Amino acid sequence: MITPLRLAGVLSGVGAVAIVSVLAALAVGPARLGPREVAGAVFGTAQDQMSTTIVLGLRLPRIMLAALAGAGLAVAGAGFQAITRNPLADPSLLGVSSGAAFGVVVAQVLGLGPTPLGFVGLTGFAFVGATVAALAVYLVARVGALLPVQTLLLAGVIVGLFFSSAITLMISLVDVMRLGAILHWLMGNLGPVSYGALRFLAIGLAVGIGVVLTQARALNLLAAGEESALQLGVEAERVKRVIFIAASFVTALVVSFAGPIGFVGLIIPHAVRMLLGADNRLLIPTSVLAGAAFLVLADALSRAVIQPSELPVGVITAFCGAPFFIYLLRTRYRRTL
Amino acid sequence: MSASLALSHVTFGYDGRRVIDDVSVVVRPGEVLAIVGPNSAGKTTLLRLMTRVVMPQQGVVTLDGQDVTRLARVALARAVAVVPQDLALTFPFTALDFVLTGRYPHRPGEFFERVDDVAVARTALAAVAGDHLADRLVSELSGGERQLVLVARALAQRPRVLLMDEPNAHLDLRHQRDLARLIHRLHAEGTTIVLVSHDLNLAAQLADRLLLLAAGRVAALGTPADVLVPETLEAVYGCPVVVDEQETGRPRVSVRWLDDTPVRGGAAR
Ligand SMILES: Nc1ncnc2c1ncn2[C@@H]1O[C@H](COP(=O)(O)OP(=O)(O)OP(=O)(O)O)[C@@H](O)[C@H]1O
Ligand SMILES: [Mg+2]
Repeated sequence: MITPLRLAGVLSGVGAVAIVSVLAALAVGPARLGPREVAGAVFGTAQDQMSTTIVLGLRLPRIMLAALAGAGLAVAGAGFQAITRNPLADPSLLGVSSGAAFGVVVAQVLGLGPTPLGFVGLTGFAFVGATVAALAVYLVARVGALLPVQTLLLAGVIVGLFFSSAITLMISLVDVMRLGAILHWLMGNLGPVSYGALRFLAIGLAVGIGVVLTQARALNLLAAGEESALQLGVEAERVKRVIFIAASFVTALVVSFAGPIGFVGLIIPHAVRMLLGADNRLLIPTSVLAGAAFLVLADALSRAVIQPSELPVGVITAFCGAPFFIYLLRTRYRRTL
Repeated sequence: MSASLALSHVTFGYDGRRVIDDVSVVVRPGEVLAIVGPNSAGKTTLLRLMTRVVMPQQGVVTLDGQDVTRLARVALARAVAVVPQDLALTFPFTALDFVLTGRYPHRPGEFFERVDDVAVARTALAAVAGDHLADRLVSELSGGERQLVLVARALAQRPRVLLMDEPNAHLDLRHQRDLARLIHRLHAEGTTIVLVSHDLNLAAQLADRLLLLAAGRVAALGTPADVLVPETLEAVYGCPVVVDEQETGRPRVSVRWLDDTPVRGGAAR
């Protein structure tokens, strides 16, 4: 049972983990900085300007991008899982991320850059791509009023492949030289980012996640099926549409700034559900913090493994997510397949 | 105050295939009406029409004289609760949390349930002798346990009209008796009850009136003694039956399991 007290308790616990993750991640990077230098930079007591610049100017924005992206992807995953009533749904597995990525590439080809208006345009294109992909998956996968696990996953893979190919085509036609950079971005890329961009992302995500949260209780009722939800007074169609749009929007925002990072939306809600149960009022806010912590740590790892170079963070999340997905398929969801 | 539910010349079909054909019936305030009939006769569909999961293509469904399609969904859910025939529960909610979802229509705008909601939910679980299930996950319950939890959720709605779709299908003798006594008690408290069941003897015992549905039409409507007569049943179900008396004096229907004499009729699809 969920009470304000229990929610607050869980959120403080996971919040503490998230904060520790951020502090740990601040110490990771090519420049060797000890805990004291990092602490000095964070609390403004550092002697040398250099470490402050590295910690606050380079590492912190990137870590914040990771935290925001992780939070968004986790909530988008939880939202798609709730409305498809399919615990294996995830923006990357459903092809929604690829749709958003295609939108981003189109926007870039059209020359939208890192200005406030550019962010709006970028996100707008990504949002259109995401909703088109999500809608396509829904229409392909639907059997009567149901969305069976198998067809949903298959449709997601196919739509994802389609948009990935469309991206490659687009890039090849326009600018072969940039193919490498784009491919890097397509694996999920937490590159340098301005505080202005972070602010834009944070506000957008707050709106999207807030909308998902308002529907959390209704989503619990939807878990027992649409008919049952209707009979308890939930306007099931409306709730599904709201979540569909909000989750696509959140996915689009994250992809616009961090690329289509995979599996976060699968791993995080699932892990939280295993630990705390299925109540969306607990699951969704906890996923915000757990997703943030997870991607911050994954990013720190991606920066640590092959120093001074780095891996796209999507490589790390895929290495965690693919085995997790296979484990879920072979054990928990064996019967539903 | 007991509520009445009425269908007036209701016709409905899925994808153009007619399933309910000009059905009219008034469920009187405080009465127990049993709906019986062969598989796919349209019993569950009638309950869907009563709860506006689907809308009549002709005719009208009213709750206390008001067209249900004009009522807000939550308002309808505050008055009318359903124990569904079957429900796939794959997400790991505890039974208590699941029963608590029955409180949603009473305060749909609030994020948390209140303390009194929890008390109502616990009382509802206790009423089906399901206290021990409170912390179990609904995704891991047996068929009968799940059935009890579904009844408890409907009770937690504190409805004025209770619609039950085969509530005893998964229950053993003891639990069937408990359920019968629960229905009896709710009836005494003034709840209007619609009971869909294949158990004609249970229906005969509990119901004030029976509605026999065959291929989407009303084949018979009346007291158990009026409806449960061999000719009618044999024509509708297409199998030989014997009707005598339960010890309460209500009719008892037995199937002649191994009797090969052909019967006329059989409206089953
Ligand atoms: N969602 C649906 N879409 C299409 N057809 C449906 C749907 N639900 C039910 N039907 C069809 O409508 C008819 C009536 O179904 P309904 O579920 O109302 O029967 P029932 O009397 O409850 O049967 P049972 O005793 O088997 O529960 C059946 O032929 C069924 O196949
Ligand atoms: Mg039925």
